[in-house]
Amino acid sequence: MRIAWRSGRTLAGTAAGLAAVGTVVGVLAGAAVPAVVLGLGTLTALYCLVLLSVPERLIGWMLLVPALLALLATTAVPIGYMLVTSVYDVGLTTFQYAWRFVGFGNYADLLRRDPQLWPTLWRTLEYLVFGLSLQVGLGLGLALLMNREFPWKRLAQTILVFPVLTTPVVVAMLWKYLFDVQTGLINQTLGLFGIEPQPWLSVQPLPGVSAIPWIGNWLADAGNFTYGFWAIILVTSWQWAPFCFLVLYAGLVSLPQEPFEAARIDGASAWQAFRYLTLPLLLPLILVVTLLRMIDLLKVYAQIWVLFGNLVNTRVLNIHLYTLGLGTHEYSKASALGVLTLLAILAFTWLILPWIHGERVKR
Amino acid sequence: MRNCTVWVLAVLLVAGTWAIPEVTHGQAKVKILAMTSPETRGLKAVAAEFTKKTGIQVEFAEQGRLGYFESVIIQLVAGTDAFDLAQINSTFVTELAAAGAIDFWDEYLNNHKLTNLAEYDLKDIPVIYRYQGKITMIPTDAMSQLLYYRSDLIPTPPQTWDEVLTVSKKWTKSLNPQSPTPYGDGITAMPGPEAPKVFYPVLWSFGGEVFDPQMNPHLTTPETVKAAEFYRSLRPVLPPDFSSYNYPKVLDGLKNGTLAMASTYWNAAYNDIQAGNSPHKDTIKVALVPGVKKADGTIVRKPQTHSWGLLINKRAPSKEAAWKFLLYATGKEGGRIHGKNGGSPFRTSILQDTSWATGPYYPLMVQTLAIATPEPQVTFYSRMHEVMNQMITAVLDGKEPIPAIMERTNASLKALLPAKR
Repeated sequence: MRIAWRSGRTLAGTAAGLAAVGTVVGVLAGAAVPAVVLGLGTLTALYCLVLLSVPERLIGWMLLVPALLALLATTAVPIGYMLVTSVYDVGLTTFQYAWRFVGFGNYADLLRRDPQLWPTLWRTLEYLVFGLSLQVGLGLGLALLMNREFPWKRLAQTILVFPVLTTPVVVAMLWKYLFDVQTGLINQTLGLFGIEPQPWLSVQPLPGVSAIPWIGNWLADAGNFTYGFWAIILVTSWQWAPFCFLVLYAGLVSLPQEPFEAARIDGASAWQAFRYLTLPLLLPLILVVTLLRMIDLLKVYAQIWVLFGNLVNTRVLNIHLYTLGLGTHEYSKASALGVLTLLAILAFTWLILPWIHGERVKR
Repeated sequence: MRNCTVWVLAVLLVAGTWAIPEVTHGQAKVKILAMTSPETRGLKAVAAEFTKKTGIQVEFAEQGRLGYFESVIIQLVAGTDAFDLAQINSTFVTELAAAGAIDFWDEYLNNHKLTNLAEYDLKDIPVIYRYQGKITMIPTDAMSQLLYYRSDLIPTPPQTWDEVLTVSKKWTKSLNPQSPTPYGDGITAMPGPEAPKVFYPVLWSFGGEVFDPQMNPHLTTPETVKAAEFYRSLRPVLPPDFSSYNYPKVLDGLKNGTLAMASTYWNAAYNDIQAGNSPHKDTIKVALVPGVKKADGTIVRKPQTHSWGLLINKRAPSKEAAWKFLLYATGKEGGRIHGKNGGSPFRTSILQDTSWATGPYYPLMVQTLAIATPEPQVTFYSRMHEVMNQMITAVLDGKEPIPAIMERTNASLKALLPAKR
């Protein structure tokens, strides 16, 4: 066994040495691809050598190293870079030159002078509240429906999963055609019932909103009760409510049956069984789905971009971030907004996590 | 177990090393980042002929229209060496030159070993883009705007903006139930690269300007307010979802008969319509962009112009080969091939030579380019463009008084000035 160990170490050491020599030769010869491949080979061989050398109790930790490195490279490094750029004045014309340190100037500029920030933030919150309620609500409804036996149930479940499997850009393109005032399927169908074509992709107020006493005008102007904003909510809900359904349905079928049987024997109605058994038992999962969807909703981009570009009336935080970062190329301001968005997501997560934990403890 | 893991990794390492691609030391290859478009189709035909003549391979990396500008700008500014030439709209060139992301053409043009200036004939090129006196781009494609109209409905195209409104009302179903087209006019009002450019011909022909000659924001003048008021007055003749109308959607509207007219639309669409299978393609005609009639009866027309061209990436790996291709593509022979294959030739001699180009399109383009105006070439173009996009959204939104919008936009533009680099 000891000999085998030694031969393993010898092999790894030799491989590391050869690959390292190859890397140096590749670099000197200016052959980038072989140099990178052999460089990775050197690291792999060195990693093997370390694996063979560390005590048994540390093996578990050592096996985590590659994943941690990948996480660091793809998450921590970009976040660090974003933090750095957020305190400098970096734009398109200054990127390749010396950056001027401005401290929290970008944050102050964004919060005080950006005319789009507060309306955008408000719209994002509205999108979050309405989108989340609709998606989780629909998902729960579908899960309860699919928990019953009916013909073609399997087929219905399969069809429900399609939207989740489709790329958001494709979904948005599809809906853009469906929403078309003249040629869209939705208005064509409404026409069969004598309903006038509706301007789904406009920023006109929804019918009747302006007539609501007291708040009607506010809802139409600043409250985002427009066709366009609700079209966005509809598109994202169509795509992601099935995801909520999938998770909640999986939870529903794995619930213990005994309490339900006991409730039935005690004469509980369907509503009482749902209110006092299904809902409490499913609550931890509902909270997890809510958290996942909330994070994802805050990341929404493709659907809005395809439907409206960076129209200010439908702009949410991510579209504004994109506009600052890649539209106007104000990299430092975009970084500052990125940091603020990240903090907001962390705050939301921090608020909701104790609930999930609390529900688990209760169970 | 550990030995087994090590052996597996060693085998993978050896296999991986074998799989390393062979390093090529042969002929240089020109790599071009381009947007999928009729212009790129033309450039590919030029590249095929160029390869036949020189043996130099030209490889295109194509991206879709969505997010193309953002992608190409960010790659150039970040200092990529993934491509030699990048296809771009002239409006971004000044910013990229100021960013130090591109090479100037002068050193190549003035190098006798690389360029025969007499044969290249710089005088034949109507517009050359410069930054601080140095050439940044010689275009491959001339871009401007034309009026597209359904000649079966509108026998004589409108000449002035007032006529546009009158004719559009006639062909808008909500205002005239007999109209076969639902909407009289269509404009690219979706915020993005085009919306401000479509507004400029209205602004300029009414006598308005974004900046005065001293580069002070100039949007609060009566002329500008009048232009914006006219733009707002188009709302009843536009599709109600006009804020989602971008280049492809206006094109679809013309092709499928939703729009009777596109009063300010891109010349590139002409070839697209002619090559397609729209039932209306034979009746869709083009004319000069309308304008404002002066007291002496003349019409002031101010179509906007920009060009498409290829920029030399500062970190291009094959600069010499790339230059040879640039010379050919922007030269007389390349330009002609380009025009025959879907491009919009830029050289005056090619545009004026009607021996190969038939129909009304090319003479109209010559006329248009003679009166066309470019946007302000400023180093804060992207930010200015965003401010203008917001202004146009507010104008078309119809809620806020026009003078208030103009005041606010002026202030936003002023805020950009001290930061201009």
